[in-house]
Amino acid sequence: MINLLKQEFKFLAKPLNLTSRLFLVAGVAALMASYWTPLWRIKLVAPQYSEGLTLDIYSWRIVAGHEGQDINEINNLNHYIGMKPLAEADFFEMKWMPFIIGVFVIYTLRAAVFGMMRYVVDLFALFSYFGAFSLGSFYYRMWTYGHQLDPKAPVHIKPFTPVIFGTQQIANFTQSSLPQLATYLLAAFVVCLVAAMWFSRKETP
Amino acid sequence: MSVAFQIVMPPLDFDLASTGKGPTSGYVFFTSYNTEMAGELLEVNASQKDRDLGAVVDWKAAAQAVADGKATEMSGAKVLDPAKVPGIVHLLPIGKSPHGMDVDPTGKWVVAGGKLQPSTTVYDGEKLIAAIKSKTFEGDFRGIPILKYESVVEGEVPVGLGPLHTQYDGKGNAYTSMFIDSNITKWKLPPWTAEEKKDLTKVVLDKVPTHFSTGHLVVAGSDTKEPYGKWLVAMNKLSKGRHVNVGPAQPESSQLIDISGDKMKMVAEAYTEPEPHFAQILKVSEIQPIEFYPKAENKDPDAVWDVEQTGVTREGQNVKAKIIAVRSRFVPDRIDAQVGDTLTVHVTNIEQTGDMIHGFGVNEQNVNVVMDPGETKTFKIVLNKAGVFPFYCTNFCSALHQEMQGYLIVKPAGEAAPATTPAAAAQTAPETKPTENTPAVPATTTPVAPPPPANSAPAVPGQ
Repeated sequence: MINLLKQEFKFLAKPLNLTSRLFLVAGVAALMASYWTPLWRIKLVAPQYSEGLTLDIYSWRIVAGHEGQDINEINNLNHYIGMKPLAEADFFEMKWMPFIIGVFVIYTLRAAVFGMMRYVVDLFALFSYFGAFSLGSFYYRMWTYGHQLDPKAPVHIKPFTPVIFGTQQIANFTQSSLPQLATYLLAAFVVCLVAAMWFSRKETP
Repeated sequence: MSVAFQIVMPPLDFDLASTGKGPTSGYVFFTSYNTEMAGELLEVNASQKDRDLGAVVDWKAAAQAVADGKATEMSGAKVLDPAKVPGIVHLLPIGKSPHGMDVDPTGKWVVAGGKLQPSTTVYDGEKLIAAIKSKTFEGDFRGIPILKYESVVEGEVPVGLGPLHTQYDGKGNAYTSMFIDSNITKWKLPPWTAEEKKDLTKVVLDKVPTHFSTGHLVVAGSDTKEPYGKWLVAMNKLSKGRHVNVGPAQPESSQLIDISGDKMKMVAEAYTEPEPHFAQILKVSEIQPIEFYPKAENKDPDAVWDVEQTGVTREGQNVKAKIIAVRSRFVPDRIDAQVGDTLTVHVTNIEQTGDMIHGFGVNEQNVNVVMDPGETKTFKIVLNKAGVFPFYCTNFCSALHQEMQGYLIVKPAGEAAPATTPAAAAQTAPETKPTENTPAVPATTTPVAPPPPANSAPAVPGQ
């Protein structure tokens, strides 16, 4: 056990070689690029909406299809079942997400410049938490929208959770929800962190 | 036709009615929504209860009650109050927000779809009448008994979302329009086997997508005892994207479906005026309309058929013109009047040929009437503006349609009122007296026919 801890301390004290540092810089690029592309896309298709109604969720905003009209259309349809209207202002995460990503950018650059393994481990732990929290929060939000239905609504449907990953049928709509480029970029960031650790695993302090 | 009697009903929103036949003969079925009797935000407040109410009206019993003096007089109408005269109206629980009950060709099955219910309800007409006779009620609504649902219902068929109307092919199949799911669903009418009854999804036979949101639908002869239907027309409420974009106001799509086989087959689509409602498909042999109104049957006292009978007459400030319309002229083609006169025009289309329709429009006078062949039309204008107002045929009739015109000449008030033009004296059809003056001959020296002003003279050659 003691031996294991010793090994761990040794590992944390390892410096980062150039390859690892370059991976960290690449990770920063991926993080920053995620700002410009959507994380997730929610799409609703029905006979009357064969072209689909789309919501693209960015880390800091929601972009609705048809020049923004789709969010109004979705809210208009949802009012029949008594669902609360989706409003960008309600997504408080969107206010702090860019800030958090900025913190990760700075911290990753710090790790690249100082070349310390322990910073990379920190980043990996914190980012994993951040990713898991964000997904959990997204699921909770979806659950809330689908379960807090106005009991006085004209159409009564069984409370439901809109699908997060995949496709499901809700009344006459086929709803799909799939990760988009920004999510893959965030995943690429994690891959960069792992690669940075991997390539410096044999360095000596 | 006149109103025989009226029935005072609770303040629900009643809409469509259909009549029974066979075992349900003598009954009329209505649906209503807003059992909640909401007065505002009906979208929500009229959609709170899971069932609304239909009304089953025994109209023969109602007529008898009126004959027995049980009606009260209200504003000249004989009115029956079903809460006070029992046996006339019975209410019936129906799926949420229904839009009509449809009686099948045998008259035994009565079907109602609740727009906000994923099923359509089949009532047994015989049980319905039995329940009325045995007074099997589950309560009342403002004194009108409500039939016990379980005692009259045969089953709730899970046809899909937004069932609206149902039609029948006479072979034991029903076709229901699905507004929300946007399709036509074919299903089997009772009698059902015990197995089918246990799981009514088994009686749903086929679905064909429609574009989009079908409201009414029609199967040829569905509303008769013997449907002759191989065809179904779906009247859709939305056409979005089915035709070239014609701007914000769009026609709807109506679709023709072949129902002769086991599977329905979409065969054609056409774009109809918005809000297609209720339609019937009739055999051409059932309709034999006349092609024109025969002269002998035109009883209009102001009809004129002969040039000799035409003319403009004056009585005080009332000017009366009797005019003939025939290819390609009006006789007379000049009406003289004065500001302050009331002009009455009787215009007879003396054609006795099919499709030879003429119109009569008067510039700046907001008048345009259309006379079918053999028809006489009358209109009145109060003349309060001096000027020369062309009148002209407004229904393309012949190669010289545009030349089919004349002039209304209104002199300013104060000038000597124009004399009465005796019938066929000043103006006569050219073929009878070709030498008489006409406005088309400006060189005429006759004082009664000044050439029309240049700005209203479309008769100028070459124009």
